[in-house]
Amino acid sequence: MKINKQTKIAALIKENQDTIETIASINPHFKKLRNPILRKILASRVTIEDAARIGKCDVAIFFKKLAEIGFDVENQSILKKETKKEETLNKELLNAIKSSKITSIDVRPTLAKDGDPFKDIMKALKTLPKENALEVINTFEPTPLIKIVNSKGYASMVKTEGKVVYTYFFKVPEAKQKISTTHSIFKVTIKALEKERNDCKKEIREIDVRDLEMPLPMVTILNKLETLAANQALFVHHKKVPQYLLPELEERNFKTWIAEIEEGNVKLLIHN
Amino acid sequence: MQGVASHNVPSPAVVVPHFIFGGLALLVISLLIVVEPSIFTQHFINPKLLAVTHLTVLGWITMIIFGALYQLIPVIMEVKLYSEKLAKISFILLALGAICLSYSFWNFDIGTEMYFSAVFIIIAVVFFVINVTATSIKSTKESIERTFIVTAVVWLLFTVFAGLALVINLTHPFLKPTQVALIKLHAHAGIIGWFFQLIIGVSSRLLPMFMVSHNLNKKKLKATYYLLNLGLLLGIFSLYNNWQIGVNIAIISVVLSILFYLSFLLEAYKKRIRKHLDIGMKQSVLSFLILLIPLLLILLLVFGFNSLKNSTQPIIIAYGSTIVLGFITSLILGQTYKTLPFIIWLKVYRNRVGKGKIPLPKELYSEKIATIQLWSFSVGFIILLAGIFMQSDNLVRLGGIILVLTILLYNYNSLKIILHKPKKTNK
Repeated sequence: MKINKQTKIAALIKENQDTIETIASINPHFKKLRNPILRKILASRVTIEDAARIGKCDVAIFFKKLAEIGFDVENQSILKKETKKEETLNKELLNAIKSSKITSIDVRPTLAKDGDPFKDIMKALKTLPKENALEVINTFEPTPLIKIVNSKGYASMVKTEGKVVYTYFFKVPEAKQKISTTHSIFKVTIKALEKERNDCKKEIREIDVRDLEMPLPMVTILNKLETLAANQALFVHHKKVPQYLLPELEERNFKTWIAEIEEGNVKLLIHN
Repeated sequence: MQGVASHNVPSPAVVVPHFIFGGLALLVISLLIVVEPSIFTQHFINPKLLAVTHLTVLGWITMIIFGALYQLIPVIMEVKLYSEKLAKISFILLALGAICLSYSFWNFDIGTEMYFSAVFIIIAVVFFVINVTATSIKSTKESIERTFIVTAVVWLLFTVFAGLALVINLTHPFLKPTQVALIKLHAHAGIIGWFFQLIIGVSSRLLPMFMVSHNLNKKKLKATYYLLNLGLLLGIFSLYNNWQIGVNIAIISVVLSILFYLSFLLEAYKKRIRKHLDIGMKQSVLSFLILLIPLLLILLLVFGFNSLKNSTQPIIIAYGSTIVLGFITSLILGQTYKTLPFIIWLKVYRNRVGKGKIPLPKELYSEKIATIQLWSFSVGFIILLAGIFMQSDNLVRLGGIILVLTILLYNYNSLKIILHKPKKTNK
């Protein structure tokens, strides 16, 4: 199996059960993977890149260890971009945290007992007074939790102090939430789309879903994406901007370029 | 390069309650037909018929349209719905208003109750209008569908305020035209300005999409739009000023506009790539056939031969019934199977699409029951119509009974869809 930074841990485990022990051996942080509950929540949402950040180690170590048990590491050169955009958001959140009171929840005892603190955290969020930020204290960066909570309209920030990781969640005011746009879906001209298609230097797989009845376009595209290798990109001929598909693409960490040529003729380029 | 919002589709909690309330309201309506069939065989302005009519147009049709629009507008206009909270409040007020108004018509109590319900409905509609307008302003996507929807919403606003004016005029007369002319005006603003216009706007997008038809002549839609709205404006003006020639021209204009639209649909039907029509589309085709009846009836009423003069009352009631209980009801019964399963399917399976085998939306309901529903609706409606024409209470009641059974089947299937749980796969 070919792997890269974006490969999900779950995919690795599915391919080879030894992955659990291999990753656990990298760093004590990853011993959590042995816990089936935590594994279930974490592994399906965390990529190798996320895991390296959580464990505070280099991705290279992952690739080395994984290569030892037979995974095929792809040569990477294009996946450097990103990250900067989040910092501006953090500033806003920081101000919000400074100006507001903080409700704190320490999930380390629960985790020590092999429990799942997810429900406690969600409950704390629900009962969180207005203007308050929620502080979650634990020992690793809770990437899956952050993704779920972000999708419910909260901004987040992570701060590490020694061995302790503080994660903050803050409800973004509704007005802000509405204009918030994603960093993964772009409306472009057909020229820009063609340029991206050439620049991404990936093997292009092409499908035409214009003659399919709803919801088959969505099903077909997502099916194709499941089997899309990291060095491939999907080029789609569509009738419209697929409103129901976009959240799914975003959640599955794909980047999408959309060019509307005319009514009934829309091109999409999807890859990660 | 511009990033765009991806989460435009509203939560099912906003949309689904509209479908549940609508289905139950329709069940009550059909039961009322069975209980009081004579309301269809009297003069068309009788309190109980007004009660049934308002429960139908508000509690059933407008209710479903509100719910469906919250789902569709983000898709058509490519923006997020302005406010889900406003939508929920509007739902509650419309539900209360529809019940109270029908109740006070049934008992013909033109007092505080009726004023209260009128106010509920007006607030519900105003909230809805704010929501749709604020959403559509955010959209940069120009389309004839959007124009239809926005204009329809304006007519809805006009209709409910005209309704309130009618109630006031009943107790404190201040308007010059006769009450009958005012009722006709109010009814047609609602039927043509709101219902027809909205149905055309939405179905001109959806039906070609469901049938997968490409390259349609959209000029027909433009013609439809102008003929319909100019005709309606002229009609309202003429009714108010008791100017029969104006009314006649208005009717020709609106009938022409609908014929343009039907020709657009026929083109979509002929050019369709999906040859097989599923049960939801079959019922929709039936409803557009039913639509031909009121077109014929209104022409008969206005340009009809003198020999018809004695039977204008049943024709007027048949005219209203074929539009509201025939065309629109049948269309909603069919289109529910095209929209509701998809909404629930998306909610239940969105995370699992592409990852293993999952059912398709059409597998969420029983197709057999939907087929029986289509046939029993057709039979029930034809008998009801025959009962109206022949002024026979027994026939109307028989039609009503068959419609009750039809709506029970419809509600069974709707609940089956709404309560759908994913099958536990071997994990």
